[in-house]
Amino acid sequence: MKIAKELAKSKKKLKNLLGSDDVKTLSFEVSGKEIFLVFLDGLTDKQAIGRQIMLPLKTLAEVTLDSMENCILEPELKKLSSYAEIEEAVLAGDTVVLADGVAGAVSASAKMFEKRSVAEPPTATVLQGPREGFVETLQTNVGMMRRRLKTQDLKFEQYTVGKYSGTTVCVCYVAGVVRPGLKEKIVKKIREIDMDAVLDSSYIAHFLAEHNTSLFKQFGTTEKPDILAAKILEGRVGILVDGSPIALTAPYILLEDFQSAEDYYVSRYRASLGRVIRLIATMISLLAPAIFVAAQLFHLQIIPLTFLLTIVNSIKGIPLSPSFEMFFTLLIFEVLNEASVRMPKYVGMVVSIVGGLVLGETAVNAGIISAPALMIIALSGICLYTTPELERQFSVIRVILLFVAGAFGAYALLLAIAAFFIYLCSFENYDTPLLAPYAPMAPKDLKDGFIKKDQGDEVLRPVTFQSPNKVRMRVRKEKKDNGV
Amino acid sequence: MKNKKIGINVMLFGLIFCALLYFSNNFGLIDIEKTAIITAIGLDMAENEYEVTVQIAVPQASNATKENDKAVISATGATASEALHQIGDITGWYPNLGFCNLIVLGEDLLVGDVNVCVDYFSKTLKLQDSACLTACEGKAKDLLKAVTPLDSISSFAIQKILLKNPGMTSDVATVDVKTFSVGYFSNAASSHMPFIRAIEVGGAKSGKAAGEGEEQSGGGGQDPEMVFDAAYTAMFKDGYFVGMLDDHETKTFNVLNEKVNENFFIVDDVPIGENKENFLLNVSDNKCKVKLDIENGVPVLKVNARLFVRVEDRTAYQKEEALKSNALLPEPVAKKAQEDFVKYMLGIVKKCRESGCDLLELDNKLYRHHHKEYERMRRTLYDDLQLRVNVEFSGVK
Amino acid sequence: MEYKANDHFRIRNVCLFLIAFLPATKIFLLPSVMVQAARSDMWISAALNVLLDSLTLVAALVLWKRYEGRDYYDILSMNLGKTGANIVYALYFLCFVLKSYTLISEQKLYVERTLYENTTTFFTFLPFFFFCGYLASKKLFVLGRLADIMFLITVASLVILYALSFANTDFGAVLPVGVNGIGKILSSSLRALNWFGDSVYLFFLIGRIPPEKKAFIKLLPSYFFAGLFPVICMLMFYGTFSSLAMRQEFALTEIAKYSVAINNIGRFDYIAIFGLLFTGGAAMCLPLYFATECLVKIFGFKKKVFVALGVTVLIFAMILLLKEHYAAAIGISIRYLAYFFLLMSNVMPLLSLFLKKGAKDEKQKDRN
Repeated sequence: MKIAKELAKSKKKLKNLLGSDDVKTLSFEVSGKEIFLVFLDGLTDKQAIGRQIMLPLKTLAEVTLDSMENCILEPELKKLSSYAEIEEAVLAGDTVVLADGVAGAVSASAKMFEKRSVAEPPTATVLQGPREGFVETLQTNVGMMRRRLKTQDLKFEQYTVGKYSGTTVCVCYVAGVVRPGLKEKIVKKIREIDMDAVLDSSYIAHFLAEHNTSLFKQFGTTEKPDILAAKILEGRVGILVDGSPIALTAPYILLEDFQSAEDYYVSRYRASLGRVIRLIATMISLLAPAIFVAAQLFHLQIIPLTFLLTIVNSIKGIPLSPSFEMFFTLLIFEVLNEASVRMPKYVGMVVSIVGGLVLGETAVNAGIISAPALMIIALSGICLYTTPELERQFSVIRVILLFVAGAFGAYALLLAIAAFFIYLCSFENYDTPLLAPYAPMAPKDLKDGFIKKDQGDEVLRPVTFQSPNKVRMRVRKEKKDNGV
Repeated sequence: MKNKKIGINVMLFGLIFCALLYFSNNFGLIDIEKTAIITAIGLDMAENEYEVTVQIAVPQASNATKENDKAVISATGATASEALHQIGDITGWYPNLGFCNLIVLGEDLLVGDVNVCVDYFSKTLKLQDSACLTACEGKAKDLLKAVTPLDSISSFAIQKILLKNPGMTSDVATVDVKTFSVGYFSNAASSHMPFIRAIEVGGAKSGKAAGEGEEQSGGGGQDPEMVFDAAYTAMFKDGYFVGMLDDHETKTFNVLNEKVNENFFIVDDVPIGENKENFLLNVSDNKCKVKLDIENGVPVLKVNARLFVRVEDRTAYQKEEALKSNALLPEPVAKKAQEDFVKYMLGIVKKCRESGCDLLELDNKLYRHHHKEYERMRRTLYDDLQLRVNVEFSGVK
Repeated sequence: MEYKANDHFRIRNVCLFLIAFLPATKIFLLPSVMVQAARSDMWISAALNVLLDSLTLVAALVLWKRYEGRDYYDILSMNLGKTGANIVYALYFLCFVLKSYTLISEQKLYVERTLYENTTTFFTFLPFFFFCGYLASKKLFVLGRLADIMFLITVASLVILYALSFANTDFGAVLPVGVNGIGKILSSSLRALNWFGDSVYLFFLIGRIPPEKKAFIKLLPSYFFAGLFPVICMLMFYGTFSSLAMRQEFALTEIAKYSVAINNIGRFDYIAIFGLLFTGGAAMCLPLYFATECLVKIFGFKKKVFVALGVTVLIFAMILLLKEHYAAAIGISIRYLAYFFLLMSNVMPLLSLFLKKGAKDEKQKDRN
């Protein structure tokens, strides 16, 4: 609906549209005409409204839409023609200026709200490399990205999602690097989202996922702008959501969760060692409880005799069967894990001490669980956090494997692992295989695999993401030319 | 979408089924708590029945040497397997033979065909046929019950004697069940195994001391501590005990057949000047080749052996020799060592000829390399055999 | 002909497919079957089988070159008509089902007898059928990707097992070579046909392999590399057991345990054994997988998952019903069905070389 010339009508209309106690209005007279300001309390800088909007407006000789726009001292100004636009602008934190006898309005961005300062993200701390992390403010995050990639090819496309939240979702990519059609596919899915509110990027992830029933995640996540920059330079698309410090990247491959940001800032040998350790730790974490139970129930011969004697010694008098004991220990571990994550930090520490030391040791001493079982679960728990992004998926798989091993033995466990591999091999999101570059094997991409090659050897962009711009550096060639 | 839902439901059903089996312990499975882990088996004859003695790894026993005999249980049966099942019946445990790495045959079993019982261990899938096989002086039961300072569990101590040797000192002709059976079922039907004797610490008594120890323990007395010697090798033909190699012959036999890194060769009565001295040579390496050739229709066994030795020690001290390197092997020592080696070699061949046990696997060699002559020569192989031994002892640092 | 980007096999996939799955099925029961006839010459029989299958492989490659992008069913349809193609595919279905019966029974027996210490129950081997059905319902490209991962596990496991067994193997035991006579060697080869004949799978892949240069040069060495493992296995099996070889049942778990290292540390050879069971599990499902493919082609089923389910239930029923008659069934397979397997795995592929109607060259000639 078009904005009426009569301010009274507009006021009435706006009262209906924005009838909330935090919507503030202000009226004053300039050259005999009433000027009306609408803004949200808590999202606007009142000093800026006074200094940069009201003061200049009061100097006006003639009140028209153009004169108002020209005199307001704000860099972000916009002429509005409908009440819907006014509503949108006010809810976004802008200050809207209306005047009697003027069929239109001007919105000025005098936003100011409390926001978290840029800090190192707690889930991705590094010894070497940048320590900046994304915050909840989209503009800040976009700025951080722009600061890293000073190119016109870095594109940001913003969309508003959420019937009530009106959250801004920003798709970022490097034009010419991203595979044709990928960005469009993601944007199409974003546009199709019809939901009440998008409160975090994980809300978006659910709608963008190609397999809704999948156990595995289908988007990469990062809290660090340097990682996002690196990922979109490989041909991925990044998705930033206002109000969320976690950026999504697509397409996702499993290997990326074994790659740490630090791997690119340390020597290739250290990076390779780190990745192999993460792989081994993940395997231990998934398989150790299952193998331990299967061995005790079905395959004693796979345990070395001396270790077997230790186990026999420790389980004497324990009332629980090996399978029940392991499940019970795992349950306690998961409970402690949930409790310590949810509790306030200072209480969480107490829970860790009580759970880890007191409860564990007492349970062993009381003969409820055995020391090897406790050790296996503790080891499994610690190992799982070498790849924190996969913790949620893998903790579920760990329980499944434990049940299979305890019910049918090691052979079924092997088949279950093989079945997981088959599942992963058949899994694709956005036409990218989840297990790439290992299945299907892309030899060129293995340079950034578990055994990492030198950064200088990674001349080409990963073929997995099918980027039309294949070359990402010419360092080596130039060196050779120089050498010649 | 419908397919996916079916898939999820199937998964869910599977998981519930798994959980059911999981928590019911697979409907009453024999798990680790109900299993007796057997580490060694001893076989004896008792009134025309097999007496099987098993050593069970009881963890508490590992802390106290005196507890060893408490972990040894015996039962009898018409066959070895029947006796083993008896043990399960009388203890209520499920005997797990997967960890049994030692089978000891008592002396009274050597009277008959030992393969009658060894064959069971070779065939059964319950026991690894890589378990060490050995004969012993006296009763196997006593040997397993013996208290030893070497380990809290006697079978572990015996295994140490048997297993440290391959590829190292070569003092013991270690065999496993499979190797014994391969020999038994070969054309020559010959095999061997080490022969163990228990020796009381301090060397006062040997052999039967272990048996006496058992009686003492029954009466509340203290068991004497025993160590074990497995330097002798029992020879078998068609499963029957037919002869014994002494310690020197066993060592020579091993040096011929395997790589040696840390063996000691004793050379006695070496004439040095006017005196006679004893030398101890450390064999650090060996290159041996045993070849069967046929020359003019006669089988010729060519043994080429080169042993790399250091003079480790000697009985007399001569100041002028003391500063010389260990690598220097005095000529008389080398000569005497070579003579001894040939003597032991001849001893082995003689015992093989007399007993009919083809310890040197000449029958195999004839079959493999002179197949055309095999049928003609196989029966008189050792009788017609000419031996050419070329031994060289070289000093090495 | 268009190749869907995510649903095709590259030659590299086929190479790794052969390396991953070919050796994995031949190291469980096969050595003890082959030794019955050829004794110390069993390795020659295995080598003959490998050579025989290499002819099948070459035939498949020739057909692939000749009919770029066409699958075997189309080729047969063009030459023999739809009915002819259906008959051939039905025969292959039968061949694969019969083959898989022996392979799965063997795996079942191995798992139940050697892997589990306690008396096994009905449930012990049950998960295999779920796995089988699951794999059979997947698209072909999944097999290729699986091979990309599994080839490394197969090779590493075999190398570990062989390395552990090497010192205890008396390779002289196979001397004198050929002493058992050509008749017994050939008889042993014939008995082994149930386990060999993997090259015929290539006929069901040729429609998915995009044109590639130097395919022969890449494929044949890979095939012979894969074929080398079973031959070495036979050598090591006889070298380890010689006079006892005749009564051994499962070679896989047996050959490495005599190593001194194992005596000292414990059965760490189980890592390699489990590795081979891991890849072996998938390899044993291959006949069933291609049996499903045959049915899908014959009847044009849209939902492969239900066909896979049906075939799995069929084989499960066979295993269950013939549980008590396993030895007799294997005996029939070895003695009588071997000729059928020879026909389907080796003769039929060679006869396929005579199929020329609708070939690429012919089309070009027509155009000219």
